[in-house]
Amino acid sequence: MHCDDFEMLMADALGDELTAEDRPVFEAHLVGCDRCRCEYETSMTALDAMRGLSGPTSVSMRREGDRLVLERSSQAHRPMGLRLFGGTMRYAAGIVLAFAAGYSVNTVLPMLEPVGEVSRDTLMVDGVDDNPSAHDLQGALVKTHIRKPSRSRLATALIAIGSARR
Amino acid sequence: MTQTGNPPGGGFDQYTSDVYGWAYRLLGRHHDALDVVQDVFLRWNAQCARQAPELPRGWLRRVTLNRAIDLRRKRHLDPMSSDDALATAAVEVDASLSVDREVLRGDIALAIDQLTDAQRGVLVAKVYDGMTFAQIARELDLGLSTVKTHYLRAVRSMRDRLQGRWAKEAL
Repeated sequence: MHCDDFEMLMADALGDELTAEDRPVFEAHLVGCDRCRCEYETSMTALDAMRGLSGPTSVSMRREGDRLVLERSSQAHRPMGLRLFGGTMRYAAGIVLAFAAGYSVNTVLPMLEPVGEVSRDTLMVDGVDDNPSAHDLQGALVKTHIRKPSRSRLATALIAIGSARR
Repeated sequence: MTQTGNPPGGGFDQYTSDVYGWAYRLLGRHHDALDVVQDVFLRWNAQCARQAPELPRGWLRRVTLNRAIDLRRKRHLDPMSSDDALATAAVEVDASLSVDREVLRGDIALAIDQLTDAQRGVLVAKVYDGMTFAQIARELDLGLSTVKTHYLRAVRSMRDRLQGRWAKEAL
């Protein structure tokens, strides 16, 4: 095959579209022709260099009037449902952590303070010591009840536990 | 033609990623690529107001490549200075490889600039869009052998211009 007639096969080979039928003809010519073989090898090197350039990351687009706003997104390939689920779980985890932290601060810390002797008669949810002391369990519970009526149930339970121990 | 003036093939929205990709490969910088996308978007609207392109993707590729090359020239990105390359590589993990890659990108952009419009369009469609010769021929309304000829000449031109780079590296 003459080199001039080889042009279309060369284009197919460089474009990775050489058919099974043409491949043996192409390879046979390359074996016998230094010029075409050199051209093929150097051209493939140039193409590999071009293909080696990294492409862009995914972009998401939205319109604002006549403007386009594009944003690169490393998570653009994740399904919307998966992203929403992840966001919801993170939000829920934050709420749980905040509740646990508040619960710990308001219940555990008072219990760590020195506790005086608790009188059964004074541990009444509805009865409030006029001068609640922060230095004993009763005082702490009363203060909790006054400050946060919603926690009076907890205070009631703790009072009951204290009473039972008596 | 649709109410918005878009051609039957679809509006700009469906080609945005392609336009951005073409621009990014030549420019290598996100914000420069965004500038080109905005510019091409405005030109697209202006063109559709007159007469929508019959072959929208081919039209967009040609305009995008031209605008990207113009932007490169305008911002004196050829050749990329070491400082520019390092600034671009600042966010990359391996700075030394990134600098080299950005210099290569500049060399390739320079070489693409020397091609004719037809050669440039065929080469980018083949190498970066992964299209077949038949698809390119349909998109650009050219004959199959014409597309192959353009491709072969483009590859030869790129090879000749990049060989100088490899010769320097070998020394």
